[in-house]
Amino acid sequence: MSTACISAERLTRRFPQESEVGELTVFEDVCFSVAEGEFACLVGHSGCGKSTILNILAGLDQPTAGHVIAAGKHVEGPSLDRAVIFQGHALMPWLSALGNVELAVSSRHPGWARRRVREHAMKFLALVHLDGSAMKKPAQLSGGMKQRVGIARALAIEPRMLLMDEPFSALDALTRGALQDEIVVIRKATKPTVFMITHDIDEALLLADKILLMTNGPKAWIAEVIENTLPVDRTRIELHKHPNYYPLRNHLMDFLVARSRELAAHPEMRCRDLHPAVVRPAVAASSGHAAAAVAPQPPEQACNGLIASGHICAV
Amino acid sequence: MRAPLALRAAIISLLLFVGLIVVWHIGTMQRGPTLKMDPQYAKLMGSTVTQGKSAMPGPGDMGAKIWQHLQDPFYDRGTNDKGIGIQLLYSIARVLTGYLLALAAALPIGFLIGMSPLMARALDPFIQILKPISPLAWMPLALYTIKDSSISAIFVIFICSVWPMLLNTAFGVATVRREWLNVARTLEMSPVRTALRVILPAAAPTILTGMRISIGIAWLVIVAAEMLVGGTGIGYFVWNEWNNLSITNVMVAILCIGLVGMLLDQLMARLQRVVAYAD
Repeated sequence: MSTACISAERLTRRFPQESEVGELTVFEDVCFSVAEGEFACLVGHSGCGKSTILNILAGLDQPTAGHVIAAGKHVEGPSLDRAVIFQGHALMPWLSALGNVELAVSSRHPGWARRRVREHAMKFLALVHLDGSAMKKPAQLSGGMKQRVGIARALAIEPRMLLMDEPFSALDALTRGALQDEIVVIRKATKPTVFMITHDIDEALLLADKILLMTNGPKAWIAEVIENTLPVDRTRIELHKHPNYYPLRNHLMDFLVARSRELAAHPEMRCRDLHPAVVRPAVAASSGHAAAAVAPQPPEQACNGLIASGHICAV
Repeated sequence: MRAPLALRAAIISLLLFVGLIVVWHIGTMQRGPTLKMDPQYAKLMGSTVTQGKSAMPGPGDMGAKIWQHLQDPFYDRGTNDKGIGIQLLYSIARVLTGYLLALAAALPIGFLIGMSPLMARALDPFIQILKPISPLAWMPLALYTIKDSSISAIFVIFICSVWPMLLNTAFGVATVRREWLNVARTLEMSPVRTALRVILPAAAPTILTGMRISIGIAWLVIVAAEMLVGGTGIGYFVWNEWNNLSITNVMVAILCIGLVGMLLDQLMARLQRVVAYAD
């Protein structure tokens, strides 16, 4: 992996509680990084603060403690370098699809002439196959088309990285599949750095290079980084036929169903250096038996215990 | 096969109108008892006493009067004898002046209140106390300080039309969706650009609703205000014709007030449709 595009160091977010005295710690000392050109998915249960992490990365929210470094700089606020694709598409309903993309383009390039802005915006609408519906208002577009406009708007400002907050969760399964395929195509074409939140394990396995697993909240943390061991040119149709698919999927399911809760109940199981363990679930080369391997790590990040099988971290 | 809804509604409207005219005509045509009197004295008395004619004008009288006004709506023969068109134009000019001044004040203050919870709280007691005051209660104060009856009337229009626009602007601005503001922030839009490109269009339907309420109130108030300040305007015209005991002219004026009020409202409704968006 090359240099980190964005990294989070010991992010903590506490919210003041209305009824009780004191604060609610949503997550604590969250550490991770996403390399340049890498696609990372964050998976975890509702309420563990996934969206808050994304908002902090975007600069829309401030952490109570810790910090985010993006492109070597401390993140203090939102930036055109980090485009956000919102869960609820967040299109301006009074603007056409083209108008929405143009608003973003003219914000990126205030000096551009109107015609140049329009051409640039049309190029990105064409990328998501919406050049035929450019003049339609969001209310006239289907859910999938609205989210495509959201994607075009984010891509059109040509950011250093994309932040996606469950972008397809409000869509039906067929539309979601089609949009996932488009993301695969766009990824191949533009190689963006992506940080995406999802609930969908198959979506994560299709799109992500690595999957960050978050424990349940409160006081959640990122416990593991799963490296995707599926081939790079995987497709949605071929995905589940690869021998590594089930080891990966089982590992993720196991984490979400049982271990995310167990780990939340036993914070002492956390590695003392606070960095997540890296796991590469795959079919063992010799026996064909599913196994999870802890990848070799730099000594300062080493986590000796087999976290993957639920053992206590012994550092 | 049924006629379209609009046509059926128009037919019912027309029938109601004809019915109204007929009832009105019958109501005003009956003759009362006449008195015998000296012809010199009879000249001083109205036709009610001498011919038993109803004091209330009938639809025919009214139609004739409207026709007479339409012949020359803009004549000006001195202080107390101006065409009804001129009077209406005076009123519309006052309403628009006061209304546009109110809009110019309400928009920025409304934005301030809508965007700053601190200023919203700080200004709230003033608004709550000033808002329920009848605009005409300001009239003596305005006449005393401004010392000009026409500007005082404009001030009264200002003060009555500012509140709906102010409160609706503040509400519209305060309830702009957080996600749209987040989009503006991630696009690094300046506060001015955010206000013009995101908040204003988002709040425009709510602001326009306030503007529509305001123009209605302003048109209601101008009649009463002009009755007080006198001189010109449709309100003054009504009062002057009452003093002339010309009930026909009063009724023509009432009809005109209604028509102009409807036109102003329709104008705002059209503007509302321009800025409306389906979400």
